[in-house]
Amino acid sequence: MKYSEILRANLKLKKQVADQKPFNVRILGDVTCNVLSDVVSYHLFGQGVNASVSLGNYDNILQESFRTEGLNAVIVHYDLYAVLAKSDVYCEDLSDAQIQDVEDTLKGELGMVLENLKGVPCVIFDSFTSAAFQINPLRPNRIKALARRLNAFVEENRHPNTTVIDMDTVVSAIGRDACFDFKLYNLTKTLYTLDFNQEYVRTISPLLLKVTGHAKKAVIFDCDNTLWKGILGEDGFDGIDMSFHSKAGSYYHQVQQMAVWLSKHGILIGLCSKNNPEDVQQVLDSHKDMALRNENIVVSEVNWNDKASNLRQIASELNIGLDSLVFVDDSSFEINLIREQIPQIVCLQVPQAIETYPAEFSRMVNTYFFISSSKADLEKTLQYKQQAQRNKSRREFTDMDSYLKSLSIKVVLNVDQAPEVERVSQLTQKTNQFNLCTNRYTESQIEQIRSSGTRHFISASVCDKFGDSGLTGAVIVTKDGQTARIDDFLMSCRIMGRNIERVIMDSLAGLLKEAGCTRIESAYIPTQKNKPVADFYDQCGFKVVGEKDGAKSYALELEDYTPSGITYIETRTNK
Amino acid sequence: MEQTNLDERLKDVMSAVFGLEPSEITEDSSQDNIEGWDSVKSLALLVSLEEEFGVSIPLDKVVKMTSFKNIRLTLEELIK
Repeated sequence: MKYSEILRANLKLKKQVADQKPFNVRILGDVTCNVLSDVVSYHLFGQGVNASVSLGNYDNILQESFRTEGLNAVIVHYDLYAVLAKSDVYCEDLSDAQIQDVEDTLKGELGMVLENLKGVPCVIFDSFTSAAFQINPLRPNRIKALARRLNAFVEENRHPNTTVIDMDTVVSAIGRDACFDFKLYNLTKTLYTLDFNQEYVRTISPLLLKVTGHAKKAVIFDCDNTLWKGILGEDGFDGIDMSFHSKAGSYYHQVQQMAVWLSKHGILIGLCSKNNPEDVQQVLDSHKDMALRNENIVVSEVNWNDKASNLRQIASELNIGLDSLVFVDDSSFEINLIREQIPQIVCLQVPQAIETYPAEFSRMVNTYFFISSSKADLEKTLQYKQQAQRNKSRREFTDMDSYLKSLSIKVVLNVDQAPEVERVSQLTQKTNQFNLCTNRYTESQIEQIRSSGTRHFISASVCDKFGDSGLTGAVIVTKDGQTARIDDFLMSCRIMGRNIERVIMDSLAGLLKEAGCTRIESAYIPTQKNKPVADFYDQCGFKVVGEKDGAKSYALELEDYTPSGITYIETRTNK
Repeated sequence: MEQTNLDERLKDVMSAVFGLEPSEITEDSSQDNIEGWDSVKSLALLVSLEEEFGVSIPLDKVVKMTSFKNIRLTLEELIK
């Protein structure tokens, strides 16, 4: 995309996201980063994030790192090229003492910067690179070695909120000569080209999307000419090709392999195809060349309905937003239909040059998905499958209560448990629908709550006869004398619609009563996604005591609390 | 390249950089009458022009890019 197009688009996009909660990004650099800030804004606006990207004063990284209030993310860029440009000695000719001096100064600064930024939810730290220097691979190079030592220092001293971006990988993705603009550097201290900045923003995108709650959650595939070459209805079971060993089929097989890997890392895989469902099922069950199997697929809409309706259906079955989906199809008709009707879905069209399909698919994944290695995510595919089974079984019951009774739901509540800090933080960052105030907490913030004495977090783990949904609910409360304030009340969409929130509130009221509280205060802060819970506190019997711009504050005298009376959910509390 | 075509493209780039409509850029537009034409905008203009016209503008010309007419002159020399 051209820079002038980005600038023009930004003016327009900024207005479209203006009603969203602002997301403040600050870029600290010792080179000029104006182009980067425009590209970051463009990318985030396009994902529905009301980004406000600001630049710290040029070459004032340390000074700026003291001013972090209100920042949601910080990008730090130290550039060895800029550092060494300050010396009037040719870089290869620097003495050992001079190199040591640069190293010591930088390490001193880095230690302070990393420490100053530890309270920012997301810190993106660009690794040191020697890529801008002309390096002769025939000789060991001291700049390269210096970069390596500094990177090791950053790795050792960084806090968990800080992710280091391997700049050499970003540089090699588009080629060294396309990355640097030495004329712009001479004129304005801008070292990196627009092309580099676009590649860089694609690289850091998952981190920003994760912390804003906009990371994608599911990949939905068409089948014919998307998962295999050929048309099942015409070419037949034996005529389609996704063989690892065939020339044409191998590319489809590779994409399937990647989808299998994604399904093991918490990304949901689904099908949306115009085909006879039993034909596709037969391929999934028994075609020897498939890598994707039933166990990897959580949702499947194989029928002759239009794909926009099918994708809406898929989002509602999985209980996730349409903007959490990526759709892959070979047909420009289908891709354009979705772009037109549901623009918030990211679409990938299978490229004509099929040899680029695996790389383009991988690039899309690397841009929009945050691949986690946490255990809870690894179990997610199974849980969503169980959810789909529940939805099916729900159709067999005519009234909701008898259905819920049949599930034998059990809820375990834990208070301030150290091993749950990571998961609770993750839940606050990911949950959008059932989230009354939508505050995002880092692990260290949850840890602070745990050790504060006055604030507490309560987790809810849920299971039923179909399986274990794991830790899927959390409440954060602050005790102030006899008053308790519910700062946050949130639940994964996976367990919504089962009245679990009501029994959590019952238990919470009991816990607070035991702790000597007489009054609970709470609030609902509206976002685009949490409208389904706008009346939650009203339903629990809280009284509205203030209202402003759709945000409501509530209070409840504990002696007035009426328990839900739900008996079909078994609860247990561990303090 | 035809004059009108070059003029249109230049107006398009300049208006994008300064957040204006293309019709608001005229022959007489310059640093003196476009609000907010600072060093940051000059940087954005340089990047956008080089990209749009597929040229590399030499250092000595860059510092003279202070008006529509000057820029047009530079581009004409580079493109012909």
